[in-house]
Amino acid sequence: MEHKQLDKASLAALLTSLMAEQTVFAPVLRDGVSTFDVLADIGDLAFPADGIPRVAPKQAVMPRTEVLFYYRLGKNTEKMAPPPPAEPQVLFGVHPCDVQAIKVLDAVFGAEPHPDELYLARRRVTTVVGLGVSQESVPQHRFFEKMGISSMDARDCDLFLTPLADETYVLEVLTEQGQQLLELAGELPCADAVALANVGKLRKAAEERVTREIDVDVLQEKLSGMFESEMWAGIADKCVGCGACAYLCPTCHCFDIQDERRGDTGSRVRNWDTCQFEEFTKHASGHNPRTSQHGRARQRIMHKFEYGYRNFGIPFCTGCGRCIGVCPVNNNLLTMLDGIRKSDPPSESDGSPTSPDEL
Amino acid sequence: MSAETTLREIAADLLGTGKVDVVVGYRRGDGALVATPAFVSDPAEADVLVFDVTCENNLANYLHRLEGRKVAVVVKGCDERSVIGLIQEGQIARDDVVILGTPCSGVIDPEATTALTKGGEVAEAVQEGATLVLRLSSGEEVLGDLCELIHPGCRECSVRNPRHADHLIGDLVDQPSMPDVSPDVTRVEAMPTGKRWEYFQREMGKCILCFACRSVCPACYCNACFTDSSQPKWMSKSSDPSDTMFFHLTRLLHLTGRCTGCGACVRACPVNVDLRLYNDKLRNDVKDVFEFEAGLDPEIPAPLSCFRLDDKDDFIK
Repeated sequence: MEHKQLDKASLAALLTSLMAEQTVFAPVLRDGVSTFDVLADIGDLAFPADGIPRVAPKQAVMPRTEVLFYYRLGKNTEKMAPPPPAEPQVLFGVHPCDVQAIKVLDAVFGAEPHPDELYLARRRVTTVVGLGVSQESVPQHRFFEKMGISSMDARDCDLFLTPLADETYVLEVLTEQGQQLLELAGELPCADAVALANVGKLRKAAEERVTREIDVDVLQEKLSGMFESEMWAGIADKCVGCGACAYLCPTCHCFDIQDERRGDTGSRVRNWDTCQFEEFTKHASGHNPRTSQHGRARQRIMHKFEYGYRNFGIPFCTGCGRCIGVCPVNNNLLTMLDGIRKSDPPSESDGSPTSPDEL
Repeated sequence: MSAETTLREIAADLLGTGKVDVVVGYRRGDGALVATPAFVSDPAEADVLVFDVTCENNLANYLHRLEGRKVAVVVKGCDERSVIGLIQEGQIARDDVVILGTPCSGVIDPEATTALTKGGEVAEAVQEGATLVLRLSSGEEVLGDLCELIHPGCRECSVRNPRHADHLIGDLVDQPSMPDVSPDVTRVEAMPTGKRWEYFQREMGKCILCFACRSVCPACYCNACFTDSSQPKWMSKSSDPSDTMFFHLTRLLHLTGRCTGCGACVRACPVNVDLRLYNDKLRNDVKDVFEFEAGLDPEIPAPLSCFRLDDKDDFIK
């Protein structure tokens, strides 16, 4: 596929033409918080040094609140209207680990036999422009390289942008959808041999940093026997039960369905929700099968590295490290994973749930 | 003897003599600039305890869940106010708590240190007077002025020294005099109503309803928070700013006369909502109307739990 070359001015021109046609999401700085959000002004574009904004691109493909349908109450309660159709959008400057996080969402929401049409419709009109990051040392809490993802990994992107040392950019066209998006911007020059060689060097160096230290197969096997482990209580000791880890996580995707009614009309919506909240598992009867914080802490890890991996073949964690960075009490997923890896092999007795009271 | 040594010795003694079942303190977290809550019940493990400028959590938050056990808790001046508040509100018994008070000149803001080191990994941090010496993994040494590295709320702290400690850990620190009203409150109060409303909407618009503010707040101890009720559903959890506003306004009202200004919510917020401004404003109002400051004096009842004939009542015109 093609490689285009841009300088700062042509990158701005490209964004201007994209913004005229579609909603562009990109990393912006909002009161000191790097946030992947709607780009309203090109001047707001601010790639974080490590390419990973604190607020993940998740909200562009899985909005915090999404209307499922509108309804009217009455003698014949009816569905009035479907939600508005998805509008074309561009996710511009997505770190490779966040691209893989979107792949997790794609797997979950696209799974047969009940694919999520709302999610898929939005995804079909979403063009992903990946961002290559050549930072040599990533902050300690980022572990995507241990999870097998390189900071120059162009997998699953439609376009891939690599900033070079001379403040120019190389834009790789990887899919037909990416090609079509670029056509909105008119002609762009092809990348020269020097720029291509530089991208190649950065990619090779980034790949060399990928250690794949975290073996998810090992974790999954260990976790399959750790439901009753004492480790969970230790992890949950200091956990305060907020949802910062899950809401900042680029792969956590649980939601709650609620009716928003005004008078006789209303909308049925889904809002972000998380297993870290007590009422997440509360039944309509009032019974709650998961009453302890250690059960909730366990669920989060199990879903990511056991159930999710077992059911979909990909871990529900990409190593972005956001949960570590934002945890108010410094609960560290990496430390937990290390504890799991070093734990004793599962015995017969502590395999699957034994108590129906604690799931 | 260093404050840390004192802390460890006292903790080991309290545990060893059976005066307490558990010491809630801090241990080193991930990296030199991070401390994390520690629950020590074995005197032999008291050596993990640390106290320095990285100890930002308000550990009074854990007392409620440890109810019924004898607990020693490490508190800064601000955190101690939360302990007093919990005692006053009948949530914990004074006899069940040993207050280990640590004078504090402010805890550091990781965003400020990251900016100072330009993202460089800090291998070691040592406080030398008012200077924080940061030794980076690269070998480089960066000096930071603590006044500039501490959280903005700490700069305006008027309770640097605990007042009700059973054991004082370390020496008392200087307490500069502070303005009655935070300059930020004055600034926002001076805005025309429309601008103030815009500012409020913008701040609330950032909130993602992760409830970290509520979860780290020692005064937010309700077993069932109004946000978690589905029958009736008091509040929706959508991205509509009216929901986030409703949450914060209700929480603020619940905290009126109870918030001690420790800043735990501000530090926990992952999206930097300016919660301090509104908490400060309410605290100023309570001070103004009821001459009350939460958690300072266990003998003075909270304004919403008593009736006083000499209340000013001048808000009723």
